[in-house]
Amino acid sequence: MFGSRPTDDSLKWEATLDAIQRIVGETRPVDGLKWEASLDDDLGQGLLTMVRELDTPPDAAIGSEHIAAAVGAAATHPVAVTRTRRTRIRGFWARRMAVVSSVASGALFKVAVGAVAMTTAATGGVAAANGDLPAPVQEIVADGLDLIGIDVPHPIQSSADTDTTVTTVDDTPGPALPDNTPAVTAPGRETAPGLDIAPGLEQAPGLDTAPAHGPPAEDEQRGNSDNSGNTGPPADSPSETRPEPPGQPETPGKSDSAPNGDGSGGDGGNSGNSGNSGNSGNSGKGNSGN
Amino acid sequence: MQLHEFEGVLSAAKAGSEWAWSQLYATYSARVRGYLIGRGAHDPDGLLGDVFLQLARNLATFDGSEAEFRSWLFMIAHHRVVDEHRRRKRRPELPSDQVDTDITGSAEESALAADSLQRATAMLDGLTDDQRTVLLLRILADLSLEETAQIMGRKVNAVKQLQHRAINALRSNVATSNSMTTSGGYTTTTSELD
Repeated sequence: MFGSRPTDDSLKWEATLDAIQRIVGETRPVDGLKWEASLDDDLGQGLLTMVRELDTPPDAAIGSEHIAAAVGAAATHPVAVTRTRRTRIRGFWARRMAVVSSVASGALFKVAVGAVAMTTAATGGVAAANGDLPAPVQEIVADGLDLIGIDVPHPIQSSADTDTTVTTVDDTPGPALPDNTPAVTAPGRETAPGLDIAPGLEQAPGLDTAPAHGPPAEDEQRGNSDNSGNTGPPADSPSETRPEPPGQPETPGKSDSAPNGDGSGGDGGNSGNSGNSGNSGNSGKGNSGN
Repeated sequence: MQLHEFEGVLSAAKAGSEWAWSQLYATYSARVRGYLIGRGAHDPDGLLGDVFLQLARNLATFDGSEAEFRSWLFMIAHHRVVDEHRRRKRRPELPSDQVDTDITGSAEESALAADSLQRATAMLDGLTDDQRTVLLLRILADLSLEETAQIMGRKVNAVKQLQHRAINALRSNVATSNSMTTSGGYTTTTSELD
């Protein structure tokens, strides 16, 4: 038919008939169909007729268009260069990548990847919830989950939580505590006799509370002399409005060493004297408002 | 085209020689067109142009014998037909008077050509699409079982089975038509219709 076969027209059809007879002869008739040589001859002739009618070239004008288009396309796609070692290596990797991509596109591979991803997410989530991840990772995970409203332990936060618990208790300014809270004196802390200090309040070093117990006039005089530059508002000392804890002795010095005296600035009465904690003159000033 | 001729023509065609492309077209276009018609292509001439265009684009990468070239050419044609069938499934079919509007010539010529094609494909009417493909590739393209299996993306045994069933179906059709002709069954059948 093509190639090594003769191109003469009559021989071409003979060759085609040979091919048909070969193909028909390869096939045994199915059960129930009586085989006859004439039947196969008829079949062969029918197939040959079909091939002859199908084997018709297109119109010459259409053929010319097709040839011109093919020549143009061949000119824009030049002859491939001789294969070098590099192109061979590229072909080697291209074949491997083709195999990998075909495997990766398989359903089994996708299921396996999904299972691995789910397992990793589950174990990672549990570890993040427990704070067991390494600190940098836990930090990132905690920050990310905070954005969507999920609270997981923060690596720094988790260690600081325990530290700040104590610190918060120690640094809590006095005013935050209700005045009727029973005051507890820390063990080993020196306070004036009969003076209750709220827990966590440290008495400033060098603060002499004994003079505060003195008469008010003396206290006022000392405050004026020691803290002459104090311009803080003296009149709004909370000691004016705050009810006295029950059972506490009403001494003039009580308000000095109580919350107002720690100088934390949390008290409005001492806001102008921040940093002047333990200044007996300052406390005397506050008392002068009284 | 002899084997030594084919190598020279192929080299010239790769270089873009017009005479080489004319020779390739004269040798293979009729059979490729027949395959496209046998597969039920709506626009066989347009698809034939697409096949040769694809051939020209990729010819630089081809290196092989004439049989391999023929197998490759019909593989391109097979893919184009499959593409066209898919397009026709996706898009609504045009009315028959709008198909092949570029056909030149008189209405009589067109009718004769259509009748010829109908007779050519009438024998294949009772076959499935795969059976048609196997017969056309084996007989019209003169491809081996292995080459046919490669083009269809099937195993050789599956192609054998398809060929077996196709030939038996054709045999059965021929036997039926012969018996109707000899026994007057055809006349009886047509008289029944009257």
